[in-house]
Parts: sequence; structure tokens; C-alpha cells
Amino acid sequence: MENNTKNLFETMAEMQKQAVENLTNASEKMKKDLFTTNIPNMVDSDIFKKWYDSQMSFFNQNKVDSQNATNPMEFFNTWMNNQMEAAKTMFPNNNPFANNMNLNGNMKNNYDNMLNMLNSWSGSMKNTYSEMMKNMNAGSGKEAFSGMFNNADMYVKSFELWMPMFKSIQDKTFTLDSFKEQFNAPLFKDMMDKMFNIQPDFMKNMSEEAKANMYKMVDSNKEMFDKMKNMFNMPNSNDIFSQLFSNYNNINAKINSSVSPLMKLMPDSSAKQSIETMSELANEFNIFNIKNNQMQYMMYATGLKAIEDVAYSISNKVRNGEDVSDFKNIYNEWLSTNDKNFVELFKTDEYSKMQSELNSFGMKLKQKINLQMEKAMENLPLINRTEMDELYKTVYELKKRITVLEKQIDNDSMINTSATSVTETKPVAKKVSKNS
Amino acid sequence: MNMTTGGIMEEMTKTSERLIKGFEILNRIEDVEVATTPKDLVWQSDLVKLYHYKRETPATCKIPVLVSFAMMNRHDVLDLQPDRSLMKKFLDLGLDVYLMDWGYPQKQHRYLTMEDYILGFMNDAVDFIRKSTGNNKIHKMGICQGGTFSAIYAAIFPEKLQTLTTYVAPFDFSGNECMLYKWTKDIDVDAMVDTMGIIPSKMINDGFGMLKPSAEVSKFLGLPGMMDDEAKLTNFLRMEKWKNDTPDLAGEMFRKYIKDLWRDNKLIKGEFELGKYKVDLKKITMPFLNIYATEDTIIPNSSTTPINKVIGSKDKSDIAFHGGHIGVFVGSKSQKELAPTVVKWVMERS
Repeated sequence: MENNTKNLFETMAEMQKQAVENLTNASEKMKKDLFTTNIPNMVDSDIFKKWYDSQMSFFNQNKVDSQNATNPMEFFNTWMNNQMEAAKTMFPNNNPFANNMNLNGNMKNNYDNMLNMLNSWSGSMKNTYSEMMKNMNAGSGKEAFSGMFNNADMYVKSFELWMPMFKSIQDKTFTLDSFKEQFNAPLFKDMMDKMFNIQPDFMKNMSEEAKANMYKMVDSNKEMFDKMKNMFNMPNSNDIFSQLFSNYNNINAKINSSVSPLMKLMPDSSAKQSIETMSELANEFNIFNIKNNQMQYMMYATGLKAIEDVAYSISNKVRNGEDVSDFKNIYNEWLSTNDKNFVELFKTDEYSKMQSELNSFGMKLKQKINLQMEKAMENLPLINRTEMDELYKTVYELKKRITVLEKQIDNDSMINTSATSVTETKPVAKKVSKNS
Repeated sequence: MNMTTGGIMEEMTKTSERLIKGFEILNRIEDVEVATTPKDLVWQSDLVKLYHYKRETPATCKIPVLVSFAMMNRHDVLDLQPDRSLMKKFLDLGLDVYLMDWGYPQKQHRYLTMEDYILGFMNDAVDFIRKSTGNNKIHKMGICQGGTFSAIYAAIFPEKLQTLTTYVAPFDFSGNECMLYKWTKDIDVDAMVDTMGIIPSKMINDGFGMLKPSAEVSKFLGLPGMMDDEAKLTNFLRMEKWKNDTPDLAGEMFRKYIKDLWRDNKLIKGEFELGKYKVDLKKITMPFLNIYATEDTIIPNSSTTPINKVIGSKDKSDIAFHGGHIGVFVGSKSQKELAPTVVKWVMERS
């Protein structure tokens, strides 16, 4: 049993080492490709984050069999330390490019000090903000303050993005190439994510759950995971999404073909139907995610172009000897250039069709998921959405009928009023006395 | 800014000071009020209400005016603050003003149709005013989508209207100048309505927000500078309050509105049907005034002006005012130019 634990640890450690080496190489490649005519390979940056998240979720699921491990806490501590060391190798001082800025000695210290100061201040502001919001009176002022803070947060992120270039701007040595060398892609991605909330909340939650379920499945069958990894070829940056689709469809087909003999053995039943429907839903959900990534990719690429335009403008100003000492001007220029580039994107047929396709697909997926949830809860004493919609329809039709009837009554009472008036004015015959 | 450690510290300190000052001042402000011009609720049908603005003196114009705003925003922008209220100015200049409040659709309103809104709520409100004031006809005004709906109404019930005035209203949806016009050609509105029932205001707002993506961030850039000017700050907060107060939309109404008007452009082509009526814009024969804003980036002028060529009115005019889609109502010129021009036009045809 001890051997099993040690082997697992050694395997994990080796996987970490390989992954870190691969990702470090991918990061270098990404830097070089970032602003060339090739499409920037933003996927790599996402891969690291997803890998790191998956490691953390593995850790949180506590997969080690405590009966077999000699000292489970020691195992986890060692494993956790390895993660941190691996992360530090990839992201020293929270900036992947610090070591590549050709800063040395005092310049590097100065940069590190500035970054630490900024991060520490930003962190304490965020903590203060959440306390401030708790104590603020609800109303227009609170919303405005929230907006003000979000703007300040974006300003600070933008500041951090440009900080590596301050020195070269001041020294009048800033060029587009130096910008590319010092650009912090993950931070920029965070800024874009904050500015454009692309994925609807329900999809975000479902993504997190699907990821967690996927990792559970992977962890329980390492051999199957390795086979899947081998099937998944890294996409060529020129044709990422069609290759992703193709890779995904291959994997999906392989999974279906390996599961289908088992499904054939199952008798036809509601359980079997449910499994088939869930499998179909999972498939559609994955397709949605790939399409959504395609949309996000479009947004990131446009954002990158915008900031490249700003960098180009600043490099020209530096070359022409213009004053570029006020960061607020850089920030304002970025905002207006961003608008210009994104409005151009939004006007394209490609974007319009992509947006509609994604929206339509997402809506239909949501409908199917809602139906499945209703089926799952049908034995509970709850009114579901379909039943409520039927009720709404009935109420709507009844209200319409009542309105029509009320108008009829009003019209009828008007007619009756007119008729009564005519009766009252009719002359009454004089009563003749018997004796006359 | 000095781009050194000291310069960065100074910048951070200034940002912190601005945020703290902002917190102190904004926390002191109680909720700002909008739409404060007094009015009475005189009629209601389900979620739709009709208000009658109170007058201190009798109206100069004896024929009442009914104003309908768009449904995707609240009409409060017409009465945002006392010194820039179009409604108050109309009252000051002698009009007797009624206002339609479309309300806040809830889930149970998902089946309300365009027919319900125009042939039902709008027609019933017009009839109520006609009956209660003893006027056979009234003046009708519509803003943006409210203008489009008012024009459709005018084509079906021309005998009930003395005049028709529309402001920044879309009629011809064929162009692609504005992104909204392009996107609505492609969206799967059936999937949206069948799934959600009620169209959430957030979705509509996000769509409008994409016309200027950084506006949500950049509009707060100037806020710290307003902290010392309470009037300016309060005006900013009023506008924010209005922008954040957006109703959801009834799904069936939205379905027809997008499909028949935005996607298929049936109205201007003479193919639009509402209930049992074929809507023929040539039947708009009453005097017509079409207001548009020169810097309107939401409803381009090419969408607003074509109606004048297809209606039957002999007395018809286009007037352009400087400003944006909303600015034309809340800008300072709405008081000095827009309101007097419209009131004079209406009075001359009373």
C-alpha cells in the first residue's frame, strides 16, 4: 500500500514537471506569436489557468486513500508545495514576463517594488471597498460609488499593464517591439473579461460543474485520461476552432462507441432515456462551450488589436518628442481606441452571425436543460415552469375575456341609459274623472 | 505623473483620496428623485397606467395631449429634473398632458401582444381621455418605439387624433447603419421568447451598451470631479437612476416587434398587420410632425425620416434638433427650442 502511494506521488510529480516544461515553452511561443500576422495563441494562457484550477480541485477532492497512505497530510503538503514551486516557475512575482524585460540589478528591484506596492494597495482597496459597500446607504449613491470603484479598478489594472513600459517611455526608448516584449497577456485577459461579461451566469455555473465532474471522471480513470490526451492534438494557431471541433467530435465518437455496447444491453426504460438525453445534453453543452470560446477569442483578438494601436500611437509620440508623462491620457486613448475597434467588430456580419448562433444555441440548450430538470423533479410537490406558463396563458385569456365583457357591459349600459331617457320624456295621458 | 516609485505612490494616494471623498459624499445623498412633476393616476388596465399632469392654471390648448414613451426604458427621462423637464415645459406653455405608463411586465405578462398594447391599452387610454374630456379627438405624441406604435395607431384610428407628433422614432428598418439594425436581422427571436417568456431588461441594456463598450467604465472618469458640485452630481445620479430602471419586455410583443418591423420591415412597405387590421400608413391623414436628433446613434435619421414620404397627411413636417437620442430631451435646448417649437405647432392645429 505504501508503494501505491509513493508511485502515485512520483507519477504526479513527473506529470507536474512535464506540464511545467510544456507550458513554459508554450508561454514563450505565445509571446513571439502575440502580435505577428498569425492569430495570437491565447489558448495557451487559458490552459495554464485551467491546469492550475484542475490541480487545486483535485487537491480539494481529497483523492488519496487515507487508509493506504502512511501520512496523508505529509503527502498533500509535499504535493501542494510542488504546485506552488511550479506556479512560481511559470509566473514569477505574478508576472510571466518580468524575467524577460531585460531589467537587471536595481532596475529589476525597482520594478518589483512598484509591482508589490501596487498589488498590496489594490488588495487593501478591494477589502476596504467591500466593507464600505456594507456600510453604505442603499440607493443611487451606492450604485454610483460601485461604478466609481469599478472604474478605479480598471484604471489600476491598466496602470499595472503599462507599468513595465514606464521606464522606456520616460527614457524615450519605447517602441512597439518593447511593448510586445513586456506585455502581460493574462492581466489583459482579466481586463477584457471584466469589461465584457460574455458568458451568461447560468452557463458559467454549468461550466464549473461540468469541469468538476470531468475531473472526477478523469481522476477515477487515469488510463482513459491518458488515451484521451493522446487523441487530443494541439491545434494549429491558424485554424484553432475547426480543429477543436474536430478533436472534440473524435473524442465524443470514441466515448460513444465504447459505451454503446453497454447501452445496448440496457432494456428500454425511462432510465435509459434519461442517460441518452443527458449524454446528448453534455455533447451540446460542450459544443456550446467551443462556440463560446470562439466568440471570446474574437473579443480578445479585437482587444489586442486596440491596445496594439495605442502602443503604436505612443511609440510615434515618443519618437516625435511629444510629452507622454500623464498616464490618464494613455488610459483615455485606450478607452476611445477600444471603442473604435470593438464597434468595427460588432458591425461585421461575422460577429452578428456568431452572436446570433451562440444566443440561439444557448437558449435551446437552456430549454432542454429546464425540461430535464422538470422531469427529474416531477415526483416532488412543486409547480414547474411549464405548468406555470400554462397558467399564465389561461390567466391572460381570461383577462382578455373580462375586458371584452366589461366593454360590452359599458356599451349596454349606455344604450340602456339612452333608452330610459326616451321613456321618461314620453307624455303621460291625463287621467279623466268618472264623474265628469 | 512621474512614472517612478514616488510618482506611482502619488497616483495611488490621489485615487484613494478620490474614492474616499466619493464615498463620503455619495453616502450622504439619499435616493435622488426623478419625475417629480405632480400627476394623478386616472386610469389603469392591468399593468398599464394613465397619468394626468396637474395644472395650476387652465390649459391654453383645450385639446388634450397623450404622450407614449418606449417600453424598454421608463418615461421618467421626459421629466428627469425640474429645470430640464419636457413635461413641465409643455404644461408651462399651456398644454393639457396625459402620459402612458407601460408598467413593469412580470412573468405572467409574457403573452401580451402588440395587439394588446396598441389596440387594447393605447386605444382604451385614448377613448378614456376622449370621453372624460368631451373631446372627439386628441393630440398624440410618441417617443422612439412609442412613436412607432403611435403611428401604427394613427393609421388604424385616424378619426380619433387631431395631430400626431413623433420624436426619434424608427419607421424604416432596412438600413444597417446602427449595429442594432444588423443584429436584429440575425437574432433567433423565437428561441429567446420560447425560452425566456419575458425578455430581461439586462439583455436589452447589454445590447445598447455594446454601441459604446467602454461607456460603463469611462462615464465614471468624470465623477470625482463632480464631487464639489452637488447640482452636477445630483443630475448625474438622476440619469444613472433612469438608466438602471429598465423594465423587462413582454415576450409575444417583442416577438412580433422584432420579426415584423426590425427584421422584415413590414411597416414602411405597407405589409404590416395588427389583429384584423392591415396597417396602411397612407391612412395617417392628420397633421404630422416628425422630430429627429442630428447626432442620434441609436435610431439613425435614415430610419426616422422616410415615413414622411408614405403617409397621407398633407400637413407634414420634419424638424431636426441638435443632440443625441436622449440628449434631445434632457439637454438645455429641449427647454429653449424643442418644447416651444412643438407646442406652437400643436396649438396652431388645435
